[in-house]
Amino acid sequence: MAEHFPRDAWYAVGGAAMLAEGEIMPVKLFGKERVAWRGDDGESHVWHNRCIHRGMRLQFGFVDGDRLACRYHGWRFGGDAQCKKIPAQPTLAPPDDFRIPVFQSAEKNGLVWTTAGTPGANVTGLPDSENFVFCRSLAVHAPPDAVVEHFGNMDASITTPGILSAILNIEGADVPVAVAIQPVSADKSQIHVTAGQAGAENAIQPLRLRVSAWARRLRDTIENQTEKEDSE
Amino acid sequence: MTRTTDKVALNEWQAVGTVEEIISGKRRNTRLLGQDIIVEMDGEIPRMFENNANGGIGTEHPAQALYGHIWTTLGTPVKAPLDMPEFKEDGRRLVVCGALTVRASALRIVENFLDMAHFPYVHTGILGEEPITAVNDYKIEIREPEDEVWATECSFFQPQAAASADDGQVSQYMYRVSSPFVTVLYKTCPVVEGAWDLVGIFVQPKDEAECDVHTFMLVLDETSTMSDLVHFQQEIFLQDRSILENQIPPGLPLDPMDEIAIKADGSSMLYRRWLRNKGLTFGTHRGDGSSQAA
Ligand code: FES
Ligand SMILES: [Fe+2]
Repeated sequence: MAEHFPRDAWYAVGGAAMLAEGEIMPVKLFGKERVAWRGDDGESHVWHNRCIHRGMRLQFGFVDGDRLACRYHGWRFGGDAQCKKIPAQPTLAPPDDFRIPVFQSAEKNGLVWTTAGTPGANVTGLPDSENFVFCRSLAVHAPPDAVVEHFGNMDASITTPGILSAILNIEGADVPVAVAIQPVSADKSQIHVTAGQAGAENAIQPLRLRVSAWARRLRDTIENQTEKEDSE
Repeated sequence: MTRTTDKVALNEWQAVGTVEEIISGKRRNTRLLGQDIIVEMDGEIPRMFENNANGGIGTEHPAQALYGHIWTTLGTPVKAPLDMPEFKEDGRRLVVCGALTVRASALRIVENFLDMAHFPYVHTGILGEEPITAVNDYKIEIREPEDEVWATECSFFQPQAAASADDGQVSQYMYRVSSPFVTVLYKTCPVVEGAWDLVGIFVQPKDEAECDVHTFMLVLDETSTMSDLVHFQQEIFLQDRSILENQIPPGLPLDPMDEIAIKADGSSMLYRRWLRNKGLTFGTHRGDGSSQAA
């Protein structure tokens, strides 16, 4: 997997609009559990999905203003991942080392991006040439490499790790698409599908529907292919 | 998983089912410390056998009936099951709630049972509620010669402390851990002044990360129906289960550097230290990756 999916690259892990203010979303990258959440201040974060206190998965917590609260004992963590409040001992000012390990994260092209390493400071995002809009995310029960391979067969190009661009022909019109592949684990992937926005604002929804339908067929093909190879 | 080689775990008495369930002629096919076993009653006498992989009945091990449950061991216990003289007191009702399967380490389950700080967040509106979240100072000690962990002088404000409670009250608690897998709490009785109700769990570790939790209550409550009492306790335990099955790592870390603790975690820290001194490994998180529970 290392060749197509270096640890230090940026990977999309979900549509930014899917993570509304006050929401929490579990995320997996290279088999490791993360949690993405967005505070009332609009900032999104990607952290370890494990509370430093008693190991509770933070995905089951709740957002309290611009803080994330753990479900088990209600510890509050600020956007900087530092513990701000311990309800069982309200007079205690939590020491500096009471903090959740974080991962670099950013938003671009309507997607939330994160990494397993230390990429350049700026998120690469999708190729600049088009004004891509997010269509949908789909879980694919196939290794990330299998997804890349499949695209290889259909003349897609990889310019940035994990990102494939291709031109689709939808009802006679050429539609540029970019697919960001999230390496979930050795045998699971997630694809985040975006399409170049051609034309008027009111054309976005039909475009989304068509590209989503294409993505579902694509997913089915890849999964069938993987299954066949597994049973051979 | 196969039977553990952890002598500390093997040499404990473990509850593996209720007398009521097994006396009715039902054999219980279950598992203890990775070993498949069969529990049955031979007239009044409880018996336990290993259940071999080929379906045959294997070695018999000691078994006894106590506190409404069948207790057994795969090793050579150095200590009898805990003594609870309250079981001989008049006017108390024993409520046996039945086994609840929890996919978690027995040690995480016991630690959760000792914890008051989670009441407002996990048992919201029943055993606690924001903004009254502070855990007042309490005392912890190892009691000798019983070799038990105790936490005393514990108190917590509770909106609905028991099935029979109408209003909020400050409940007083004492906690007692008599084996790595057995713990009991004593709690202010909402009905009889100055008396304690007992609630306890006998955790049956089937594997490192899966248990059957046998819960009992021994209460001085004459008004609540049996099913009210069972429902109250079950609701509480289902709430705890949603936590217990979502802790990472599943095994209990005994290294104090692995998880952060504060003063309110005093009983948890003493429990962990007590386990470490015993040399228990079953159900713990071992950094070397040998824990099934990792
Ligand atoms: S486990 Fe998160 S606050 Fe205790
Ligand atoms: Fe609880």
